[in-house]
Amino acid sequence: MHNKNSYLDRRRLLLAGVSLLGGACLGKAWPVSAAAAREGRLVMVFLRGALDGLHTFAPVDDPSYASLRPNLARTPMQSGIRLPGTGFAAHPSARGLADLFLARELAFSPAAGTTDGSRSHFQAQDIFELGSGSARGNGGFMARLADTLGQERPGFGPISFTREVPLAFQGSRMPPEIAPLSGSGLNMPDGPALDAIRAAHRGRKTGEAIELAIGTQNRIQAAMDRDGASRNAAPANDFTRIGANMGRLLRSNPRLALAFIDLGGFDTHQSEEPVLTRLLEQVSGGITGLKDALGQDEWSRTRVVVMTEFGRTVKENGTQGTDHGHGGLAIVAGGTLAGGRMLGGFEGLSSAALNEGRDLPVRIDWRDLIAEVGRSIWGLSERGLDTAFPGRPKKFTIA
Amino acid sequence: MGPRIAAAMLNRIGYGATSADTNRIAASTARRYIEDAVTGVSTLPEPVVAVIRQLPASMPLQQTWEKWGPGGSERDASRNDAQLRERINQAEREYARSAVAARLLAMANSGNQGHEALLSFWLNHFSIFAPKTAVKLLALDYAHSIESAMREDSFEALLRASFLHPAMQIYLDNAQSTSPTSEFAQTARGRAPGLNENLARELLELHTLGIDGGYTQGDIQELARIISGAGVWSPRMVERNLDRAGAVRKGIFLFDPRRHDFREKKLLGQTFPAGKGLEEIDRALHLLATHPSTARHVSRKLATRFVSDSPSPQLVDTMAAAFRNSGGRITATLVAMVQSPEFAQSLVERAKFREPLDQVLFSVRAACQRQPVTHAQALVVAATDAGQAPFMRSTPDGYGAREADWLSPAAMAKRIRLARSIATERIPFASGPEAWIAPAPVDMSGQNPRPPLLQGKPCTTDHDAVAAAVGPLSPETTKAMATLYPQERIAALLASPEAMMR
Repeated sequence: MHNKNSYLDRRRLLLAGVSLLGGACLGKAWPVSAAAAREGRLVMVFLRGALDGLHTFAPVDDPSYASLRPNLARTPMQSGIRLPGTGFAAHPSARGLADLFLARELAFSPAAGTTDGSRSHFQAQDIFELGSGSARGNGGFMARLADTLGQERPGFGPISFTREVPLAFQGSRMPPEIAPLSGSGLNMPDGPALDAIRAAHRGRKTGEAIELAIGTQNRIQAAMDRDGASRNAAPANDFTRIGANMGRLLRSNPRLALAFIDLGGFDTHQSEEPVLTRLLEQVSGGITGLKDALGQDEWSRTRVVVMTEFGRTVKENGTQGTDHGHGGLAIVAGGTLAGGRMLGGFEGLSSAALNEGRDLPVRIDWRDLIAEVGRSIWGLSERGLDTAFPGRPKKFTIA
Repeated sequence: MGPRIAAAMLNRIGYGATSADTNRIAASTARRYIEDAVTGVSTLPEPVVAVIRQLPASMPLQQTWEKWGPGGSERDASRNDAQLRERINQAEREYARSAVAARLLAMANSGNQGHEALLSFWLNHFSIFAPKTAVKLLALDYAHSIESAMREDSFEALLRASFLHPAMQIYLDNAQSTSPTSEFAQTARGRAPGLNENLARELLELHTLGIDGGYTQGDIQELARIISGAGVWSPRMVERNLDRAGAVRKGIFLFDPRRHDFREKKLLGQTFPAGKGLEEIDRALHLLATHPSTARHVSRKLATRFVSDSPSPQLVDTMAAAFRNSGGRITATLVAMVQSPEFAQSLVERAKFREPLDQVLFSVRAACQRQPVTHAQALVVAATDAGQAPFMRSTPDGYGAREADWLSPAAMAKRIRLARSIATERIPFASGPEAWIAPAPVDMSGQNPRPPLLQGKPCTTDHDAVAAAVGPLSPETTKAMATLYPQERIAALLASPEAMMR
């Protein structure tokens, strides 16, 4: 059982500069206060479109970095905020995240992901949400966590800050509350079903109306950088306000202990620098806004986990953007986290270290990461975690 | 009538051809379908009845009115207590919202689809707006009154039920209408309220003769004088004074001679001698109900809703004749309609665009064939999102019934989103919390409009059942859907052109 003393010891060790990097196995308990262990809260922030982790936290010390990304490397190298002990620097727009790192309230893995190598947004997002390693199934990992928690830690509530129940929350015996914080969301979901609907209505007045709606939607998307890969998620360019609202809502409802929100617009195939400059400011602002609105006590029992369906190519493409990759950025933040470090290690950008010669391998499976967060803040049993994340590799553990 | 016509009838005068209903109706006739619709009742599954029973709006009206109505005990007590007043206002809004929920629960679950479709028509024809002051407390009782009147199979009964209900008296501002010649006006210190023409105008323009029905501005004023005194009982009123004045009370409806104009009037060419009170109101309503223009106006509205966006003059004439010859029977009028060649042809063409609420109910019914739909809040959210929630039309003309009133890019986008949400089981229509729970109690410090919190179980969608409800598809639709996975197919079916036409 985690207790306050080991947490204090650990903090002392950290402050004394002992390095805890490297390897998949952390070897020590992730410290958490006794209060948080009783009543932890997990806020899952899912970024749809595949965030370029290497532009968010850039491996500025890597010898191959600048040559692989001649345009994109400029800003991180010139004005990135160094994350001590990692060899990475945060994009200047992610100032809030860097501050959390420096305050030891944030940890990250640059190479998180899953075993499946799909580079399709829809498939990979489904694989993430289902949390079972496959793209098929109709129950998500948040739902299973909710059920497990319902058994082991009764009296709490799940909530989704989305318009509808997302796939990750489907199939629960205790379905989440819904509190849509995103905009009007008139977007029609992209995909084969929409194509079929358009084709079926073609030539009719209803078809004309649909095409007009899609035209409007495309114009809005272009203006707001929303795209099909975002799949109805809230536009990230409003997240600073949304994060603060989430914090207020969670603070006045302490029993809401499992929360989900998704953001879109991260599919940066071109002109990535100006787009991410804007989006990272929002992501960063949203998370610090969430922290501020939660207040000290509530922040200390909360863990925010930020993930995306996959990372992007290590080499920039011909339009100053990047394409779909594999291993990507995962972030954990929280008031009582032993942060200020990188998780799971990083093998560098030499071609030998890359996956299929083009993107990062996966060093930590998301399911292991989230499971360990769940274990540390809620003291969930191994069996409970196995139910929530069937088939997880169990390669990233806390002893 | 056979399964094909049965399905068409259920789509046209109902909310969709679910297999159970189709099989039952197929063995019946069009005439019996109409008779059951008009004079029958809705039977609802027990879980739905249980939910309706729990709704705030299901509390007995007399009780509610005595406490929360104008001059009621709780309302009076809150006069100097702002917090209590706010709580009362909040409770009233919940009351109104639950009235909407009660209607939707019936429309989504009733086995007598024709009954709900027709009741919905009359509630829209004699439309009220629940959020207006005390109408919040009266909306569901109004629906019950209209329903009882409809079952009497008489247009005049419907007109009377609507007029004599406090909801209509308040909504169209007749409850305060006071003749300058009346006792109240004479004895009032300071200004007494004057005559208000609103209800009189809408009675003529919307409820009976119709805008081209041949009445004049003068008729509106005369009718306003005739109906002065009709209004609403308040707990504040002193029984003794009402008796002395000769007031007539029917439930919460009140005719108060002290506001009435007792002089002679002339309405639609007929003389109404002086000295008459409630009897002249009865006579005026009868005159309106039996006016030839009323037969035509009502027939045209029924035909527009149930046959075609522009029904032929011949069809309207046929229906109007049946209306007049039967003394205003709804069954006779509708039987004439469904037996017309134009109606039969329209069933084949299936060219009526489903209105937004039709589309919501059709989709929910198609997806929930295996279970009752009991999540009241989810239905209210869906209907409100679609822009056609019952009792929420702010103007007395009611919701439009033509494609041009509803078809727009935004509306199509909403339908497609709804189809997908239902297909992927993302909206908890099947069941929710047992008790009626007010939405969004969470304070967002005023930054955002309060989002609804919805918890519950979605319906388990069955592809084949949905496909059967949508019915035969065009070659284009079939081809378009050929490569879809089952869940995608369900979404595409619910958003197909075939699903949007009735």
